[in-house]
Amino acid sequence: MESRMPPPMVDTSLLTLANTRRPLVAMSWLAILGLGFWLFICASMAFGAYGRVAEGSYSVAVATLTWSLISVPVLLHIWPILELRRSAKALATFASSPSDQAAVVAVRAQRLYWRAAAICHLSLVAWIVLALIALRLVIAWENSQPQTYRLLDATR
Amino acid sequence: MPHAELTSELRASRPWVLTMAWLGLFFIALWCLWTTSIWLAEALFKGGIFPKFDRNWLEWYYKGFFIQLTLYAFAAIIPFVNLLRYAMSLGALQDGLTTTLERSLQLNRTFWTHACYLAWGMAWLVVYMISIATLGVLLHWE
Repeated sequence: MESRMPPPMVDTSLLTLANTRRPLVAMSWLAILGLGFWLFICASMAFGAYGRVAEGSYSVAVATLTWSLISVPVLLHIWPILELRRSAKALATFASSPSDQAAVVAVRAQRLYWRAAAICHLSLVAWIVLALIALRLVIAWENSQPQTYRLLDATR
Repeated sequence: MPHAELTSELRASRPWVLTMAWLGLFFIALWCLWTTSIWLAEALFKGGIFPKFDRNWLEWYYKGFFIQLTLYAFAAIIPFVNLLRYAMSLGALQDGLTTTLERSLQLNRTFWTHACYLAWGMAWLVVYMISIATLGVLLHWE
């Protein structure tokens, strides 16, 4: 007969942490699927975008390049997803054998996840803001070019 | 002192959690604004939200997608408000106080549970969207 070892004693307040295991593990897998979906969107946008760059307009080029190159910050999201997987594993370890030390490891893993996620999303926001500024500047420059005036005169 | 290391780890994560909560709420606000403005524009300028029966039946699938997208936008407020409450509770953590620690851990669990529900909903929406696209292509929807 296999003997059952009693689980290590842990403060009951920490058992709430063990209950977080299921949603966190599910989220870590869903995040991988979500990233795959966004990469698919970026790849299809880039595929469609490069054809339009050949149209010769600088503003179209900047718009399409920034939209298609948004896959760079999207790819950066691999980092928080890796941290989320680590966090899910640490939490699973804590849930299977609860101890104060395992709880600290799980919470530290979550802290690293939050740090990675915040940096990553701030970079995404910065990317979008820079892209909009670049687009605004290029459109302003393009509108002040002599050939733009000539084109406007010709269509009048 | 009980859980001193755990409390300090949790406290250290507060600025990052707070950043993510505000970023999330900002994004959700944009999402709600976008979907609501499209509903309003349709209602005001296109003579009604729902399509008539004599139109292409695939339009119902398109409307179904957009109804779900709007519902998810408003539902997404809940987990991010909980994330904000979690970040606030991390600021209130004190050494040796088990009640504040327990509250933080409960809010953490609530956030992950609600975020997980939302993520399953979004995964379903992606499947739904791909199925509309496939149907549209197969039936030559114009």
